[in-house]
Amino acid sequence: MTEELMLQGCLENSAASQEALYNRFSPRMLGVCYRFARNREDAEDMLQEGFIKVFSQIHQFRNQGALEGWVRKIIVHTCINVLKKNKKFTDSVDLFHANSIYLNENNIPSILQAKQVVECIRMLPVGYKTVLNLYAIEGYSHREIASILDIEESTSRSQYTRAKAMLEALLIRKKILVQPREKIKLASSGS
Amino acid sequence: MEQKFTTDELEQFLRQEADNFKMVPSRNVWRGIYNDIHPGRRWPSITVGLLLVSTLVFIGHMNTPESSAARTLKHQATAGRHSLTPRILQADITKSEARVPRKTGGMQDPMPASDRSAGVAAPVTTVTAASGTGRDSEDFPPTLPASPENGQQATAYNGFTPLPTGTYTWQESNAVILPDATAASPEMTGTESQKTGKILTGSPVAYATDDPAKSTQRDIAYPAVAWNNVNRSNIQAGTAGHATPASDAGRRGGIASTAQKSKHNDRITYTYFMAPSVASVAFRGAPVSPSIFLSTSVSILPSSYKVLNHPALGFEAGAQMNYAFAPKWKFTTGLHFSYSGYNIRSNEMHPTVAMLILKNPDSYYSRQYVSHYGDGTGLTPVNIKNYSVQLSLPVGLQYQFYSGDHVQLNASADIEPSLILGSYAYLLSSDGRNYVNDPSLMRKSNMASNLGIFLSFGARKVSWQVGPVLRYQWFSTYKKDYTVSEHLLNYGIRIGITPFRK
Repeated sequence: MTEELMLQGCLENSAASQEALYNRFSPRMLGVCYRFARNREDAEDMLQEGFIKVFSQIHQFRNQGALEGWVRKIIVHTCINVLKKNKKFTDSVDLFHANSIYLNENNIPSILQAKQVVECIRMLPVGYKTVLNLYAIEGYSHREIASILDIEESTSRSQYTRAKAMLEALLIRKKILVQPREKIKLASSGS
Repeated sequence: MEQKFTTDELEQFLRQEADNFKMVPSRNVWRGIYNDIHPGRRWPSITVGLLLVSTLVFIGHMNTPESSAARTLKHQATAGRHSLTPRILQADITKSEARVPRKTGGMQDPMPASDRSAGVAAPVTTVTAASGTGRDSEDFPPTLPASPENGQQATAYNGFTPLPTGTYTWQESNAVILPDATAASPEMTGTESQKTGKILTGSPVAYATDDPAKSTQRDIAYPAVAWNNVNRSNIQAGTAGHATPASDAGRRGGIASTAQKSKHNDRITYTYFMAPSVASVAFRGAPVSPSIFLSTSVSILPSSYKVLNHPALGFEAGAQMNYAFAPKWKFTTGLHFSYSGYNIRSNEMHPTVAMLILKNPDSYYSRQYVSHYGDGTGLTPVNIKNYSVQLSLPVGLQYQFYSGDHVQLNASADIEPSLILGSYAYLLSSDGRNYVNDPSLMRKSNMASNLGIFLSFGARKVSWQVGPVLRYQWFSTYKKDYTVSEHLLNYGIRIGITPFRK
């Protein structure tokens, strides 16, 4: 089914079209939720809530961009809202001593590189990984992140810098990144 | 600065890896979404729930004894017409009214105050056992002084000596009379409260005495509720203190109520059965041609769709409650568990992309699958199985064609709303070449009908039932999005057992 047919069916509240849309986007969107969530169950809850919003607000989609991008934006906002509601984010956003947190990276499964990278991201403290997810992967600016998370813009920058450093160290220890100083040009402005 | 961050190699790497990361959500997520965005489509589960609740209420109503005096009196006439015992009682009580000594100004108090305060059992009204004896009934204290004159009687009474079987009507109950209930109701007078002997079971109890003068007497304890209600109404009507027809009616009503309850219970039987069966299937319709997406007209491939199948064994088992609401008719309900399915002849093949064209009410859509099974014409044959496991709540009727001494011939029919506990079905792809499986296309509920004829053989404690049974499943195992309809028929032998109620 083409995206246009799917969208048209969703606008007509057709269950088959909605299921088709869900089947098409849910695997990737669950991956997005999983990066924000603490475990798979939380991620699925976020996904469910997010798709309910998608279907209830699909008439607001103006065909001005990719449908997947629009769905993804709703899912990400849903994840943030869930974190805020559960206070999982605000309770730990101010983690300046996160370097001292013991990270048991041996728990990271070595199945696929993508999964390893995602698991490394998930090992970060909630505040770090949220900012990192939003900035590095979802493409939000620090100003937008500050607005979304109700924090200072400078806090977002500092959290991101620390998160990136911690993640880099993790990836090197897992041998996912080799000689990062040579291959990856780290931004020096944040440090 | 932010531009530098977004172009950073680490971020690009992270974004690329994160985009490649996918997870398959569990089906519960879609169910939750579906139920949320389509609340109106929950009606099948709501309907089944309502049916379950109404059936339980009906069963409960049928098993509830009638307790109020009004209902008791209302049933009295019916019980009097259909039961021998109430007629005897009515005649005897009428006789006893002439002989019972009456005290002026109040109800008779046959039991001394000392006996009442001693916590002995409350007195019970005596009714002559057989009208032919000419003996009259009279009240007597439950505990008599141990004198030579009445010693035997007291012993017999306190010992609750039952009368010999066959002599008396009321012997099956093991009712227990509780101690004096005088304090239970301050508004009652002594005799009334004494008569309000509480009985743990609803049936009257017979006692015997060795006294020749009372040897044919039968003491019947009536249910307390009937006594209370009737006597209070008598007091208000100014008839208290006498063994009035109204109070007698209350007594008789209590008995009638008990008889009615017993009658209710006799109407209900339970059957436990097992029915091994063989399932056969037929298909109607044809899959939508893939050309639907190439042209505006829908073209069907009637000849290319053929599911090679052969029957498989299944079974149905369960418990059934039968309620006889007419001489030959019974209402039946219960809980059935069934397993049915059939085998499809297929062949193994290299993984191939297969497509299903599905139909929703408004339009068509397609799904693609990787299939390992061919249409059964390949070189490596293999059997694949379509089956479903269901829990059903049948509602039906049973009719008795013939009833002999030990044999009955019955026919039964019911409809069974079913909850699908588990199912698995392979669907032939739209081009008719491959079988694919899609759990999301399986139904969650279904409906079936049962039709059976069986013989019942009465044994000592149980009744055996044997007979052929047909079960037809109304809807396909899969959803109607798949345009080919499946007609599943199970035929088997039902073996049931019905314990006789004691």
